[in-house]
Amino acid sequence: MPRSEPLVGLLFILPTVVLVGVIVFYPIVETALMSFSTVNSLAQREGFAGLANYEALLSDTVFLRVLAQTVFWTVAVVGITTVVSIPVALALNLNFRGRRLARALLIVPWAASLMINAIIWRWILDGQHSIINGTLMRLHLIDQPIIWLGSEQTAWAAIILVGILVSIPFTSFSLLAGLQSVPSELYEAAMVDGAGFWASFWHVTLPLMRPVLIVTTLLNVIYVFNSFPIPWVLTQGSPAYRTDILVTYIYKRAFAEGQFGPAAAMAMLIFVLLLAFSLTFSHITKERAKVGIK
Amino acid sequence: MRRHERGLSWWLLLAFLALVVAVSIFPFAFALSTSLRPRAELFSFPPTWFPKTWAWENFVTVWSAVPLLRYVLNSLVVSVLATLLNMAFAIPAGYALARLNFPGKRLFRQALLVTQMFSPVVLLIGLFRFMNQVHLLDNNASLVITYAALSLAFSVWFLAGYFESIPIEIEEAAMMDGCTRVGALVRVVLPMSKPALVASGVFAFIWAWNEFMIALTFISTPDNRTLPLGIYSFLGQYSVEWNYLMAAALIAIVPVLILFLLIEKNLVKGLTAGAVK
Repeated sequence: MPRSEPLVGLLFILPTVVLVGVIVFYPIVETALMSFSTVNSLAQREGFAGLANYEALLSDTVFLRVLAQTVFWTVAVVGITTVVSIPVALALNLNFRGRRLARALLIVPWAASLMINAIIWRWILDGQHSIINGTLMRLHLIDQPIIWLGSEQTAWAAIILVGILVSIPFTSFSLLAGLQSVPSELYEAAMVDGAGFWASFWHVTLPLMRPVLIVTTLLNVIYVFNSFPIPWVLTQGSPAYRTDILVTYIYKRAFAEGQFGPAAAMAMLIFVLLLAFSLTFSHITKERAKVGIK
Repeated sequence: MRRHERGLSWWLLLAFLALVVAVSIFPFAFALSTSLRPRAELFSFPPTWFPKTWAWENFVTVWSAVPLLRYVLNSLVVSVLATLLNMAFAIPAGYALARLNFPGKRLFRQALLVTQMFSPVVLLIGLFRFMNQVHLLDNNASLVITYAALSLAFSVWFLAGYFESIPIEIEEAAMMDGCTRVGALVRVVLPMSKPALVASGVFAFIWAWNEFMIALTFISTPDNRTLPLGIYSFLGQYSVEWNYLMAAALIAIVPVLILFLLIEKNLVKGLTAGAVK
């Protein structure tokens, strides 16, 4: 039983309360105030602006497109990552020689930061003389070098590919932990019933993985939504904001264009969007007991 | 071990795994191959998978060709200080959550959980304004404080979870013997919590070591750049020296990779802790 020691308890949490208060909660209040103010290019509030910054967003066609791009990016990366990671987790759960090596290699893109992953891919795809162009031309799959990061479609394909590759390690390890919590008696029972691998996967494994799949997917949504360095390093949103996502667009509006008011309004919008997710999370915690990972 | 026969599905899964691992590791293998090329071979066409001359010396010259040592030291100082600050605050807070009753405990727990769902970009504008007000922009102290704070919620949750799993009787016995609350925490609980302390410290360190967006916003003087920022700044140069850039990128990964493998068992547990608890 926890002891009732109100003073000691408050004293123990005080440093954390102060630091998180100053660095996390205060900036949100400041951003909220900015979103209702006219703000100069030095990020100083100059007066009450009502809803002007929010109204400006609705008529900002670039913002609306970037919003759609962000949804597309998040859904594509999280969706494909999950579909790829399920068989990866199943494979890692098998007993085979080289399992440890496979796990160690799979960790590498996770250990490298998003920025490093993105910068390496930029080199792989860079310009005309990239290794990808060279290889594809040698295989006669293309005649002319392709400037992969130069046009909207190929740039998106690249950005999404990198997003998926950096998300696979966390997702598959997390699903693997969920898999390992499935009692092996259940498999054996299914086997005795004569169910094959796919049948037991579909009827036993997948339903039992549901809680871990939900938690992993929601965490991935938040990670991917916030993946600033990938589009930033690969294309910086070019051409003409067509490969921007909300986080890079906000960054540009605020720190490159000095439009802190509209940027703050967008930030508040994201805040509300992600808070809705966190509320979903608190529902999800009910599933906690069923998840093998603590 | 699962008792599946090594049928077709067994081989299909392994083949798929091999494919995913190959694609995942390919960029790093190619980065290594690039980092070992002399400058003249960077843009030869058609491009080759392996260097013709192996320029092993790149890993030595990169330290003087660019201010890599400076970036590494900046990152080390920022990450170590952020980790220490994080731990100094997280240990008592985690202990209070695990063992003590105090007014506002529920609110504190919930507030910490909510901060984990915040997008750093949402904080960025207000934080930039704040750091400007307190004259810490372009000062690495701003990064230390921010990194410590942003990984704090996770550390508190993680440590509280571990402290709860320690039998309370041991502490009670120590306190019966005249140990104070702080004494029990320092002499009894912390020595028993080494794995959790290591894991949460490693998470805080890696978070700080890898962070890019906030550093990009706060730091403007080249001498103050952290490693991710320094590596990124290569891109702005007139002709990018990709061999050095790739060498620096690989050097940046090594410490994290070692730490990751060290705490492999706690990786997933850690990253989902706040969400699932």
